This record gives sequence, C-alpha cells and structure tokens, in this order.
Amino acid sequence: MTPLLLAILVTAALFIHYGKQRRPLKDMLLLAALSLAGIAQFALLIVDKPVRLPALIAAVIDVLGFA
Amino acid sequence: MITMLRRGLILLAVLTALPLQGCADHKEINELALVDMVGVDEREDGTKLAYYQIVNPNGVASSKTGGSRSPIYTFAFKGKSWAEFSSNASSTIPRKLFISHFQAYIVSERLAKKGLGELLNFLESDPTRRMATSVFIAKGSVRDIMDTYVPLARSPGNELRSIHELQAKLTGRADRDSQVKTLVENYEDGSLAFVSNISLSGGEPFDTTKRYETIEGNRGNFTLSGASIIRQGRWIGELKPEQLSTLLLVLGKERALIEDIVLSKGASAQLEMLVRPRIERRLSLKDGKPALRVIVKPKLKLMSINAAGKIDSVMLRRLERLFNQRLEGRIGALLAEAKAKQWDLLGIGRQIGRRSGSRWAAAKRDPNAWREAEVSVSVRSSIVKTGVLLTPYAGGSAP
Amino acid sequence: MNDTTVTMRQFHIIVVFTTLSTAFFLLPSSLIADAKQHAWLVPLWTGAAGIASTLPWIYLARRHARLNLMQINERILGRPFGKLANLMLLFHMVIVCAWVLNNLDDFMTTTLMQQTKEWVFDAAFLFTALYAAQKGITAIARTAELFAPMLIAMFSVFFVLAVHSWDWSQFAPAAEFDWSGILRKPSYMIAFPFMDGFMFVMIFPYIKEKAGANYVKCAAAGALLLSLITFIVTGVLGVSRAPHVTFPLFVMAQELMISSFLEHMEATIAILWFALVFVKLSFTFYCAITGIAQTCGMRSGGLIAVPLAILIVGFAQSMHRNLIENLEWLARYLLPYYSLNTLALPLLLIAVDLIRRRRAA
Repeated sequence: MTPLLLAILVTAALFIHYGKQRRPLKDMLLLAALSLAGIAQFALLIVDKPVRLPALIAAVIDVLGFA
Repeated sequence: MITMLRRGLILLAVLTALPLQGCADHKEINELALVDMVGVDEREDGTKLAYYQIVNPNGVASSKTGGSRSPIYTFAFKGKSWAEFSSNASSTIPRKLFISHFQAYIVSERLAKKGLGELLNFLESDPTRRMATSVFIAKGSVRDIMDTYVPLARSPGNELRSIHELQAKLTGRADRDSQVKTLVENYEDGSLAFVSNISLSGGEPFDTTKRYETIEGNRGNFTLSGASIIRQGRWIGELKPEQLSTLLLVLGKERALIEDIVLSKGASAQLEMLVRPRIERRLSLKDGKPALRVIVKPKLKLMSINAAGKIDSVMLRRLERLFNQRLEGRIGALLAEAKAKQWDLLGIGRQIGRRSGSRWAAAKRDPNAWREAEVSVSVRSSIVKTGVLLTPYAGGSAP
Repeated sequence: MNDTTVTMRQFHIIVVFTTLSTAFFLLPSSLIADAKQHAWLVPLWTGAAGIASTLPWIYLARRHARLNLMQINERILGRPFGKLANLMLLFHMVIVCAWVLNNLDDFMTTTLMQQTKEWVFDAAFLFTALYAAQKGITAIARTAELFAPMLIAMFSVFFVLAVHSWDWSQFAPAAEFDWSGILRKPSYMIAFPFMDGFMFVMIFPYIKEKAGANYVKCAAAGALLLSLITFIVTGVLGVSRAPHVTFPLFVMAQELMISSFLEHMEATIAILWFALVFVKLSFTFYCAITGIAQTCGMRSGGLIAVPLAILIVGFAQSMHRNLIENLEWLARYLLPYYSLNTLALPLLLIAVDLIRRRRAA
C-alpha cells in the first residue's frame, strides 16, 4: 500500500510542477501514460497479479519456438 | 481615599484567590503506588481476590547497583465486590494506588469460566484504566504467578508483555489482540477472543530476590501455552499453541510460521512464512445455507533444504504443494474439532450479521446459522525467496 | 549537450564496471556448478563470443559516427520503423534496469537485511541512479572514475586476503572436460553481461576517438576479470562448496579473517559491489531516458525520468517469483531474447543500409 500511495503522491507533485512550466502537450501526454503504467503496476502488485516482463518475453519466445 | 479603597479591594481579591483549589489532582510520584500488574481471582463461594504488584522505585534503583531490596511487592486483597479493592488497598498500602499504567492483567481460569461480565463492566467504567492492556489467563494459581520474580526484566508485567509480543512476532503462537479491549468489544456480538494462557515453569514461584543471583533462567518463570477461547466474557475452551497458530493463519493475523516438510526418507525442507498472508474470504448463500470460502496465500522462504540434487522450480512447486497439503490438513482438523465443540472460530456468525439484503434475513435471525455453514479453506503458497543455499549438500545420504 | 565529453579513461572504467557489476556476484556459483573446475574458461569463451556479437552495432556506429543508437535506427530505417526498433531497444534497457534492481533487492533481502521490504531498496537505489542520470553522462563517468581507485584497491586487498585459504587441489583433475557443462549450459553468459554492450553506442558520440575499438578492449578486460574472479572463487571455496551457495563472494567475505577482531567483511564487500551496480544502473537508466526523449522528440529526458523510475521499481518487484526461477529463465530464454536486439536488429540495419547505398549509387 505504501509504495502505491508514494507513487501517486510523487506523480501528482510532478504534474503540478510540469503543469506550471507549461510543457508541450505531447510531453505531458507521454508523462501521463508512463505515470499511469507505473501506478497500474503498483496497484497490480497489491492484488498480487503484477505484469511480469520476463514471463512476457518467455511467452513470445515460446510462441516463436526459438528456445 | 479612593486609591486606598481600590488597593484594599485588590488585596482582598488576591487574598481570597490564595486558598482556591489549584492542583487538587496533583500526583506526587513519591506518594503513588505504581501498579505494574494486576491479578484477579474468584473463589467458589464468590469471594473475590485481587493482587496488585507494586513497583518499588528505590528497589529498582538499588537492585541495579547490587543491593537486594525488592523492586516489586505484591499485595493481596479479599472482598465481595470489585469496587471494594480500591478503598481496601489503603488499609495496607501506604501510598495511593495508581493503576493507569499497568502492563498486564492476569485472570484466573476459574474466574474466566464463571464469566468476566461483572469485572469488565467495572473496568470499563473507570476512566483512568487503559483497556488496551494485555490480558492473560492463569493456568493454576494466580497467587503463584503474582508472587514470582523473573530474570532479565525488573518487572514481571513488562517481561510478560515482551514474551507475548515476541511470541506473536516470531512464532505466531499468541494473538496480539489478547487485550482487555478485545474482550469488551466482542462482548455483545458473541465473536470469540483468544486470550493467551500463562503458567509458571517448574510449578513453583521464585519469590525472593535470590532470584537475581541464580543462573536458572527457567525456574519460576512464565511460559505461554496456547490460548483460552472467551465468548461473551466466558471461558468456553482452549487451543493448543499449534492450533492457535493455524487459526491465526486462516484469520490472516499470523506473522510467522515455520513448517518442516518431509520430502522423502532422509530428505526434508524448512519453509518460513515471510509476511502476513493475503486472505481471500467469500461468504455466500448456497441453497439457503451460508457457505464460506477462504483462500490463504502465504509467501514463503525456503529456509533450508536437505535433499539430493540442484533446487529447481519442479522441486519448489512440489514443496509448495506439500506445504499447502500440510496446512490444509491442519486447518481441516482444527475446524472439525471446532465444529464438534461449537466454536465459531472463523467468526462466521459475525460476518453473517454484517450482511444486508433480504436474502440474508433468515440467516441473520438464526443465531446458530453459522453452524450450518459449509466451510472450505484452501492454501495457495508461493516460494518467493530461496535463501543463500543454491544446491543442498548431498553428503551422507549418498549411497 | 554537444560539448559534453567522456574521457578515454572514464569510458574504459564504465565499460569494465558495467561488464562486471551484477555478473561477478551472481554468476560464479552457477558457472562452477556447470563447468566444475573449468569454470574460469567460461567467461573467456563467452566473452569472446559476446563481444564478437556486438561487432555489428559497432560497425554501424563507425559508419554513422556522431550518431547514437536511436539516431542510427531512425536514419537507416526511416522514422516509423526506426521508432519501432527504438522501442524494442528501450524495452531492453528498461528490463535491464529492473533486472539489476531485482538482483540487488534479492541479494539484500536474502543476506543482510531480511526483514526490509524489497521496494525500499529498489526505490532508494534507483533514486540515486535517477539523480545521476539527470546530471548527465559526464556525472556518471566522473562518479565511476572517482570510485575506481577505491574499488580496485579494496577488491585487490579482498582477493589477496581470500587467497590465504587457496587450495590447488580444487582444480584436480584438470584433464576431464565436461563439454556440455563448459559450452552448452553456460552459453547464456554470452548474453549476460556481454551483449548488453550495444548500449554503449548511446554514448559513442561523446567519445573522442576509436570508441568501438576501445569498447572491445575494455569488455575483453572485463571478461578476463570475470574469469579471474571465477578462478579465485573456485580455488578458495572449492568445486564442492561454491555451487551450493547463491552468493559465493559474500560467503568468502563472511569467512575472511584478517585477524581475530577484523572479520565478517561481508557488509563492506556488499557496499563495494553496490558501487559497481550503481554504475551499471545509472548508465542503463541514462540510456533509457535519453532514448525515450530522442524517440519522442523531446528536448531532454528529465520530464519522464521520475515516472519511468516508478515504473521500473514496479517491474523490479515482479521480475520472478524467486531466484531459482530467475536462474532457470536466464538459462533458457536470455540468449534468444538478447540475440534479437544485439544480432538480428543490427544485421538487418546493415543489410538495409547496404541496399540503400547501392540504390543511391
């Protein structure tokens, strides 16, 4: 729970900071997308179903049949 | 003239202010009898017994420098009602009783069997008492427990609390909620409280300061041994330490658990639970009867393993499976015993009571609805840490 | 940004440190388990193969001097396909960051601080790396340069002292070669740590002369050092003991006795190791944020650094269920995955480049 709250707090602070600086919309969208992904991963960690990158790679390789 | 009158008036005001009550509630530490531990008991004929263990500040100080004055004294009182004791106390104790900071509350088993209702009501009505105090049930005589010195800690109450904390933290064989507060909270809705049992090891108290000069740490010291089940202030049964630990696991309160898994002859492994397990608990209605499904998801660490070959994921899967089976077996046995003895260990009754909607109305009306509940508990563990040993040493077990 | 440069010495140090960093703590025990007393040969041949497989990228970097990884992709493949290739490489960088953190927190929670939550280590470490990456490659290079003499001195002292319990009989019998143990099983070491080398193309533009040749030289030195360390571990802990323990260097440090009051050096060694890990982590993170910034046409990577760090900390906690699965995964999938980014992609780029040039001519 703590890491999720921290992540949300930091993200909110970042948005306020960069929002004041009037960064271009494209940059802000990228920032939003990345933040959302990070927070989603933390939320998934809490319910014990996180995205496992290696498992993803393994699945792709298994489908392609290299290993 | 007027000035004089004014001065006179001011003087008068100051003089009348002088005898005003300023600090009627003052507490001088030298006039207080600081109670460290309280024990209560009730004889068959209804005579109530109370024991106050009082700290002797001079004794605590001098015992550090090697003197042999007692750091604590136990006073015993008899009476017909709980309220009597506070006034009785002043007949023997030369100081004012100060009860708000005591560490532990000891209740005799026979009193618990009679029911604690009266005592709890009395305790709750006193504004100075903290209800978040640890409570213990004494197996055997309360007097003996109140009359013993303990090693390492100056005050037995403090030691008792530390033992309890450590047990809860390291072995999971004690419930952190073994507090007066829990007894009061559970009084109305009939859910169970699990109060730790204590007894004296060796059976004999060690009641002189010679205690501090002997090396025998165990003698006359406290031992925690399982828990008593208290329902609405009344003792209804007890759990062995292993049973308590199993129960706390299902309730998701368990912090530590070490399990020995036998793989085959001469091959074994020890698994340790890392954090409090996640619990998925679903209560539903099946054909009008409540059904409870609990899934316990502990995260484990492989503490040690003694088996031939490299540890691989197949082996880990097998260990997880064995662990699950072991615990499910233990939980099943515990729940079967509870069902036979009509203990609502999992608090199904309370959970039903919190349901809303017309479907649950019938079950809510029936106070014994939980007995018909169909309970299934499954354990799904996963090993997340494997320790520093990658391959066990085969050693002597090789042919 | 154009005036930043990395001196030759700094570049050498970064290359050696990133090659060593997590590998030299994690690999020796599996290597010795597979190849027994010949384990020290493995870093040599895998090093040769791994460095050879980064040559296509280095070739590309030479043909397109003053361009970094991402720019090369876009130059050759055009914008849309170039960006796709960039995303693949960025994913690789992110996963390497998460991996390094995962190894680090695994190490910490199994040995020194068993009760602490893993994300605490991840966050604390990545925060430092993030700061370094924000300050730019010069800061990372200078940090590495600053740490270098200390690390070299301490590790030398450590190994010299450890050699006290050296036993030559650990290497007997020297003749029996288990070819599968030496060649097939540890072949993933070609990928980790050597194939990560393609990331250095990101900083090639900052290096004055002959970046490629210098990279090859230093990566080879890294391979030699890894071989030496494996050799020492074999000699000190022995073929029978080393494969059993997850962190052989840690055990060596624990059992090192300089005198009766100076023992239990493991915390010191762990801290030194963190310095190495720090260089690799901050370098990879730097590559990732500059890469993203370039791919998305931003002025600098500062904006996305923090959210990326949060994401990486999240991934780092869910890399594997446990260390055993991590090692099994490495043995099975690592080489195919790494070959995609380190071999297949640059070979494709070279082919496209050649075809374009021929058409133009």
